[in-house]
Amino acid sequence: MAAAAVAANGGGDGAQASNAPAPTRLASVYSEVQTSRLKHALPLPSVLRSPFALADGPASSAAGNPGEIAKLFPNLFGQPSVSLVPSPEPASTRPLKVGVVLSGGQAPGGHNVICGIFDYLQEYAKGSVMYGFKGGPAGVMKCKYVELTADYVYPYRNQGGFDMICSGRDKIETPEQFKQAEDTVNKLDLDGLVVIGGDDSNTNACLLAEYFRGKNMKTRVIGCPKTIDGDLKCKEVPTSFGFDTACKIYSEMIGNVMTDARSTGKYYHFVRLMGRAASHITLECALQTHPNVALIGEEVAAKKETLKSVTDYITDIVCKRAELGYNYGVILIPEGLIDFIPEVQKLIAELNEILAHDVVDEAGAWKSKLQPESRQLFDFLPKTIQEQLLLERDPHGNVQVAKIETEKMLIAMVETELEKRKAEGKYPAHFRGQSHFFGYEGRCGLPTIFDSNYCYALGYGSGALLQCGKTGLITSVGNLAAPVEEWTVGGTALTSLMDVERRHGKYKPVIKKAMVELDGAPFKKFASLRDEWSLKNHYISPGPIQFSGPGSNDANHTLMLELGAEA
Amino acid sequence: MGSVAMDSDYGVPRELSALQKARALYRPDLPPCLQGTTVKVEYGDAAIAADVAGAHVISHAFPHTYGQPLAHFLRKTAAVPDATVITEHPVVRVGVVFSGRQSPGGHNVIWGLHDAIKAHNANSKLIGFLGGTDGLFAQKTLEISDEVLSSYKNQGGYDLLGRTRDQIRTTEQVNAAMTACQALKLDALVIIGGVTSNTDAAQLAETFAESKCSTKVVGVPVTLNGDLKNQFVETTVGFDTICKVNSQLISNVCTDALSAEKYYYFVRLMGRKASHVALECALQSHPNMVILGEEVAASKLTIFDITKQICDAVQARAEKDKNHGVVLIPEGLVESIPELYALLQEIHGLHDKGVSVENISSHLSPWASALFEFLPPFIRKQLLLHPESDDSAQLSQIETEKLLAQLVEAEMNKRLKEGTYKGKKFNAICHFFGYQARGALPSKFDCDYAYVLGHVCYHILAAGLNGYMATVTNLRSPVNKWKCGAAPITSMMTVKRWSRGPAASQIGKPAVHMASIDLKGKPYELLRQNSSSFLMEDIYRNPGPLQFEGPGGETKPISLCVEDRDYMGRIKQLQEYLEKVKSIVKPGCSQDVLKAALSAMASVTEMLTIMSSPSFSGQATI
Repeated sequence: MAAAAVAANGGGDGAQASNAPAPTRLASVYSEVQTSRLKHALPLPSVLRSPFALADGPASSAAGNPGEIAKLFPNLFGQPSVSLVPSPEPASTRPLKVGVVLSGGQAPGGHNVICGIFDYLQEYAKGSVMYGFKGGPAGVMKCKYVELTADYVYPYRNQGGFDMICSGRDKIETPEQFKQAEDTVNKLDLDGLVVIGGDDSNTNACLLAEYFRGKNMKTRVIGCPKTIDGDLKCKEVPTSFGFDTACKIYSEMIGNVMTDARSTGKYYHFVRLMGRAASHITLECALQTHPNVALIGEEVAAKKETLKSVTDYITDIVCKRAELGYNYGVILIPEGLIDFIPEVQKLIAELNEILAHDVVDEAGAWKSKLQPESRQLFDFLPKTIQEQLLLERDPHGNVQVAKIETEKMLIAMVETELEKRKAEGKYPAHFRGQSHFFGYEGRCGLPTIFDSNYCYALGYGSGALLQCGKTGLITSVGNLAAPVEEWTVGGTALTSLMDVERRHGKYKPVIKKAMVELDGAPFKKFASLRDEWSLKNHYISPGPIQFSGPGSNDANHTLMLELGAEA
Repeated sequence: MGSVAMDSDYGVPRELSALQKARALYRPDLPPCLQGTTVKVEYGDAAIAADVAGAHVISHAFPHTYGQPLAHFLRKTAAVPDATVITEHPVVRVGVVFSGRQSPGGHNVIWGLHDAIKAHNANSKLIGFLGGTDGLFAQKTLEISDEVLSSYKNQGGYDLLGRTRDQIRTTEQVNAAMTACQALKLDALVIIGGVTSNTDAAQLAETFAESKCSTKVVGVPVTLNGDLKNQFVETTVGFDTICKVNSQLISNVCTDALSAEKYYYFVRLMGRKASHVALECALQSHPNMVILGEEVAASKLTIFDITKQICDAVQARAEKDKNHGVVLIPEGLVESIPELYALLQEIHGLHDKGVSVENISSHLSPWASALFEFLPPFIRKQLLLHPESDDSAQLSQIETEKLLAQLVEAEMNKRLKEGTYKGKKFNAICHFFGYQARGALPSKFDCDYAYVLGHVCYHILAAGLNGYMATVTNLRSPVNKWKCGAAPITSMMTVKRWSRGPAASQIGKPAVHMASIDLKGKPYELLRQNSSSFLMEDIYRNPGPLQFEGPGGETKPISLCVEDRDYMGRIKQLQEYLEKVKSIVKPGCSQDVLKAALSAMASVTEMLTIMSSPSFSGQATI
């Protein structure tokens, strides 16, 4: 492939125009399905199909600590959320210069957000220029960008991944970094910047918006809700894009594993699923496939479960199933499970402290520095997990939760418990655990029809908000249970989603992660069914995502239940 | 399966998703030769083994079933004068058993067989054995009906009947099978499986023939591995689906690699010893590298050679600022690496001698012991597992991808330290794609192919054939051009001599051996032609999730489509030419015609004699 031309801290518009970048993808090698998706025209909410104006909602507050949020965002706090409404008079149009950046992990549909912004500008603000920042926020700071043209954007329509401009996990947070961002947007004379990201990235978007507004700069900043984990949502922002696609890919695989388990009848499959904080993916996959066990981290925390009690819960079900003659099963585990178990959190905190100051000696003398209950827990853990906790660290020296193979840990612990029960004559069967981690293969799939449509609407909506001069908003598309034409489009004040957290003695603004609500419709439905699922085999195999035929337009259970569109 | 509750889990109506329900309504078409209720069969010549050198060994081992003719099933209106027409269809009782790993489409073989049996005589019965071969031995049965089938049509898995041991081999097992067939008065036993199961089917057919048991044994080529492949069998049921599902996941990982730009993904693929799945997935998704077991074996690469090969690729890509990539690894690779294979052989030999797992390491020979100690603990533990029923290692449990990733990481770190590599730190993420693909909803192709094979089984029974495998050729064409027939399983056998330890027998045993990738074949050639651009240019291709309607719904394996194979059709065509020559060159024809015929036949015969000699054919490998 031809490398995309990347201008770094240089090159005027003239030079750019004469040196058009080539996309990093070749549509000529696309499969039949990719090609058909590429050519598929997307529907839009009807409010975006004809002249519109912005209608202001009431003044906004904050999710928590409004006083502190007001201090942190003096120029933005309190601004109303807005919605697009049909208008006899079209909004005034002028060419815009817009930058877009992908931030954080990949989520299917990101390319369609970019295409939506691009198409909006082509349609409503002719003569506009759009830039994609390479490699996420780092591209904004270092002024690494590519000009997006129709030809450049084309191969990415309705395709998964973030490789059009790539993503990154850097954060714009120091004064120097804000200055770098300022220099970049001034150099490119940006009217607007769209930040496509999760909760942290959208918080950052709001900080940028505040900074730019505080300096009386013309650059507006709009956020878009991305994350497969599903933990960026609220009443006004019903879901983040990518969640629908990722859950359907994982559920396809889980359903296949269930069919496999039943065919052989001798394996318990422990499936770890992405979701470092919230367990939305695990819950949604459970609703789609009906596993024998699904652990929901938030419930584990609420019930103050220990590793032992979680192990016993699984073991009890294994034993009951054995009595019924079933020696197979499927168990779903959220990636961040151990973060929900306070004793594990305590152990990890203690380990972080010890390892920050001491060397771990082979003899184990370092263990005396642990609190008695933490030591007991550490000794209770399987050896491989003990090693993981000690040896694998992230760049900041902390335990990398994502790399802990929780599913293998649980298999080993269940195995140990079953051996004990067998010795006591309580378990006559033979347990075999098979571990799985469904992660990276689900976050870059071809987006579902829902995600494709939702992302395109988010992109178009972002363009509309920028054109109307709004800043510090997150694009919001609602009424998602209805056909696309009836979806609503607007922007929600980012400050209204915020609370503060105390970090290093300072108040920091954060968009609260949406955790699984134990009194929410999705969890309640799951809780009402799981006992039956545990002993009977109500497995459901959703099969692969379809782009035509029955069910191809359906959105996920979580969204439909939360919208009240599904019982 | 001792428990009653366990058996009651097989064949019960399943709950289906919306898509599964839609799929259950799909009805595959039949090619013309299977339509209607007339069975028309043309017999070809006696089918010889392709393995010429082993023919005498095979015929000696299978005196009753070797040398039977090929069978071609014809449409009712076909103008073939010497075809046998069967119009009377007595009541029959047919048993069916799953033997071998579950493969998407297996259920449709049973559905097709059931439909064929009932279409020809409504009083005939299809009897499924619950729990696979163990169910056969124990005579645990379920009568198949439309009601039973309703939630299994076009569905994945083997949970209609289940599977267990996947072996009918020991004298005890064979006797139990014969006892079951006689007790249940079976006219036929259909065995659905891969190379090992079909070898067992052939042996069973021979035993039945010798014992004058009236049950005919029929094999059906179903295996996700794609390694039951020969002149009669173009591909197996399940292979298409497994490759499509895996390729969806692989290509998503490729896109992830391209998006994050900092990880190498090592993806191991289920598919047993041969690398057919890995090759097909590479052709569908265009990963940067695929390590084929057959290439490794042919070049006698060590684990260190492979590591170096990957490291050199990582370095070359890093020089172009690419710090990501995707490497596909077939699960059978561990048995293709000579020193690892030899180590496995020693370990399995010690298992056979009854040495306990804890003590095996101290019984290894010096070189094997040194290699064993070099390997990380997780791999050692996995290599110590007992072999599968077909005597190969438990490949699905051996995390070769992690071993390679660790070795590559160590080597790249070493180069970084030495200064020979100046790129970014190497980061690897490992995946195994296996269980989540083999339980998949079968593709349209697999549904069609399996359903047709089920019908072919009935035709084999109607023709009174024993020890045959159902075949369908010309598969890359639409269904209405598929050629249906049957080939003696013995004609697919080869004889290989091998030794495990000094005490093992030196006498080769005939078997349907797995087909390795043909390193001179078109699919492999296609990969080779593209391998350098796959390696460096990141031209990843995403087949997308398997589609049942609309674009992508009709696709078939690339390795099937690039090969031009219709062996059964061509054998028939050749016979037609021979018949035509016979009818033209009769006593009384002109001298010129006779001379021309003799000249042409002499040169054809000479060429064919050379081609079929052992020194020419690679199949006589010892």
